[in-house]
Amino acid sequence: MTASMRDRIAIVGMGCTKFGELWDKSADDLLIEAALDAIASVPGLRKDDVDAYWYSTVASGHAGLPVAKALKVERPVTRVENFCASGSDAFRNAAFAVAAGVYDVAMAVGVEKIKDSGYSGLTLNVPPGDNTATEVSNPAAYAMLPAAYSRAYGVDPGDVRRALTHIAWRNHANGARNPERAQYASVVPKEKIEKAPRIAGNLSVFDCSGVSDGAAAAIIVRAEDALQYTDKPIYLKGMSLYAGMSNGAATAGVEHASFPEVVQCAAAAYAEAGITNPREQISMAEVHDCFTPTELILMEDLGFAERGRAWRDVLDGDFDLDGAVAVNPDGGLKSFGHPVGASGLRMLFELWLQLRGEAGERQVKAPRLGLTHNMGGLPGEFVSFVGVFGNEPG
Amino acid sequence: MTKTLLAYATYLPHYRLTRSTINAALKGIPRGSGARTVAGYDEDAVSMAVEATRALGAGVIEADHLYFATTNSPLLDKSCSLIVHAATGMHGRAFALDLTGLRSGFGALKAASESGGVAALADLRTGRPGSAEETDGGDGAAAFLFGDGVGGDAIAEVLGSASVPREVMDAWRTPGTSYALIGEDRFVDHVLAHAVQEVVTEIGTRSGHTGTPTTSVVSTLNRRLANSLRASIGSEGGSEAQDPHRENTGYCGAADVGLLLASALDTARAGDTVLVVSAGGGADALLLRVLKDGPYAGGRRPDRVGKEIGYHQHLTWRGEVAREPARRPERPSVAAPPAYRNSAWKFGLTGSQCLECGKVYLPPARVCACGAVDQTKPFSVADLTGTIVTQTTDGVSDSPAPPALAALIDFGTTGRLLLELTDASPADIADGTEIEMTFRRTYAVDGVPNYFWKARPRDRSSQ
Repeated sequence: MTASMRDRIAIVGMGCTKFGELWDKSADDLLIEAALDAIASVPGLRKDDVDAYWYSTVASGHAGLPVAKALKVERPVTRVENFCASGSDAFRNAAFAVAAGVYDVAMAVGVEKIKDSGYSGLTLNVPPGDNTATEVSNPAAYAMLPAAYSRAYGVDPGDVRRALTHIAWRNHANGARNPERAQYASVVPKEKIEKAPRIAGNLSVFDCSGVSDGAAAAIIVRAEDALQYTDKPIYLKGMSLYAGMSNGAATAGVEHASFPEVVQCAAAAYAEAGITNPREQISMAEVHDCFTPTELILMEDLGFAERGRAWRDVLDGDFDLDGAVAVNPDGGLKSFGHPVGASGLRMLFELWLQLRGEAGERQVKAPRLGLTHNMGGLPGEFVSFVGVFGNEPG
Repeated sequence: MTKTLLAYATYLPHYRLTRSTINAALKGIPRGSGARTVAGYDEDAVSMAVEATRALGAGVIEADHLYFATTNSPLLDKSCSLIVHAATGMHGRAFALDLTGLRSGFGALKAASESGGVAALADLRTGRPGSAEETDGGDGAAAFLFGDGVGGDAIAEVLGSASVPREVMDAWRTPGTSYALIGEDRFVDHVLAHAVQEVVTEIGTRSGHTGTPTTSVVSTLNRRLANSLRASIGSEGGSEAQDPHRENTGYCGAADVGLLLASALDTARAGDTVLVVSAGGGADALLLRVLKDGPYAGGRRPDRVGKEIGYHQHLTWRGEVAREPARRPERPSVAAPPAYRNSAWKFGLTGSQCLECGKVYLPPARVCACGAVDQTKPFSVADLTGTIVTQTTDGVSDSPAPPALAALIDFGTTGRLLLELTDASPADIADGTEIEMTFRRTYAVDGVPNYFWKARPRDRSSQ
């Protein structure tokens, strides 16, 4: 039996850089900026008060040394890598350490410097292998989703396409209200999205997340200590990380219209958080919109929409800023790009602002519970994280 | 004991280049008839040899010898016959050997016809733009399985072979170049005509079959000379095999003699004698007596409906024109130890099936989700047909023929596989399209090829 993390820890400070093509900043610059902003966001907290660090990056640094070197701290630093869910997993492990009572104050900090590679997408260092993996680009792997979704639920492909366009349009529209940090902060008309040349299947660049550099950090303490640090802590209600057996796409019946890893992961997090009706109970959600069809399917896998209904709910605006669940109110990966090690913590940063009522013109009305969903991999082989957070204990 | 031919098969790539297209590109005059075959950008001599050998059927597994002949070996020093061996599931005690040079195709045939086993002949023929070698060349492969005894499945019996070697500069290529240099044609005509005459006499004497063979085919680089040499032998049959081969396929280097023999056997009747002559560096000949009416039902038949490509594609696919690559990370170079450990998967497309619950894993898995550990048996999908579950174009991945195509393939088992599709354009595929597996050169890093399997729509290649 596993112990519950519900109301065991709280986030009391956060920092997040601007995301974008930050040619004038190094990975260290971004790390320093996010970490020191997070510390500065907690009145009276000093760098030396942070007992331990969890540092997430996929390809921008090795071991824990970049944090110790950049911040000039003599503390335990653990590097976490779990594909695109690395940032969330850094948070998760820091939360465990604090809940265990080992540390009073821990920081999770995620950094990625993607653009320096010179490639227009994520690059990974793969270990020597037998080179039998089929070479499929990320957009192509996700481009298989819309048709699979249409077939699974008998939905007209044109309706699915309109839903994807709405997701791209809405996330960019939300990002347009976030010029301080978003990579892209302008509204993109639906006609422009529809007319964009396709790069893989029925997807255009507007269906893909951007590519950017960025960093974000969170300060974590025990829930009972939280009010010593801030009068508006954010409490962890439940979280789950699930690494699939890499046979999701091989499972007959699912066939790219659902992500089994996410379904399992969400069920565990909801059970811990006491969520029985996600659509009713959760006010806002930052979800992993790496591609627009991903977000469409996530609405069902996270329980925000009934099976086969997400396309309709999306078009009805149910996940817009003023909808039943405000999804990606900060603009999501669409507007922020995807500096892999940082994205999970960037999602948490928007949740932090929203649940504290500090999201400005993006502010969701009276939110109580928020969710972050962060995942890595490709259809068929995912790691998935779901976290549920609230602004009140109990 | 008399050796017999038990099976034969050919492989011709999906693509063809019409001679009028070549002439139009180079001279602005679209003239010339017929077409040559062109190997796909993801094919080479090894991959085509694998395809032809696989088509021989189950007898390959038991063969004790494998002779792989090509003038276009993708690697030197290393024996590429070992790749053919691994990819065709031959048993682990077979002898595998590479042969090279234009005469190597005949050499492989002769060796297999004497020792038994497989002769796998494959070649790509290139030449300098505007050369006859380019226009009249072709790409393809042929494979033959020889064994013992005249009963049962035997297609033909080996009556004998003969050779008339002549040291002559008739055609040669210097290391590192992609085109042959050719001797003055009237001189070559003179030398080879005499050699062929002598070899025909010699094989009659040696085999005791001195009469004119029912069918004769002659493989030599020059198309006109090949025709006149064939005519000089005086056989009634053979032009129906040789003429369409030169018109629709082209001279296929080391594989040419095999493709000609296969065509001759296709139209032969029981009791016919078939003489196949390789003319070059003198002449070599092999004489067979046909035991069954052709065509042999085992090998897949040519449909000759290849997809036409442009001259620039031909040059690009052969590496003569460097296309701007997509801005993508470098592909991983071939790591020898993992490829060695995973040979059954990489070369044999053999996954595993759990003995406890029956679940199939592609690639193989030691631990099953049901809890069983190391309770598996091999499960190959190389020879299975499958259907496309879902598919997409991929305009982002680097490909010499964009957009790349990817699909999730269902083999009717629990194991599914994400694969690249080849020999297809986006209009050719849809959910539910039937596919078959094909062994391909997926890419090369610093000239070193990487091989794995792709899917292609069924019955697409002009085999």
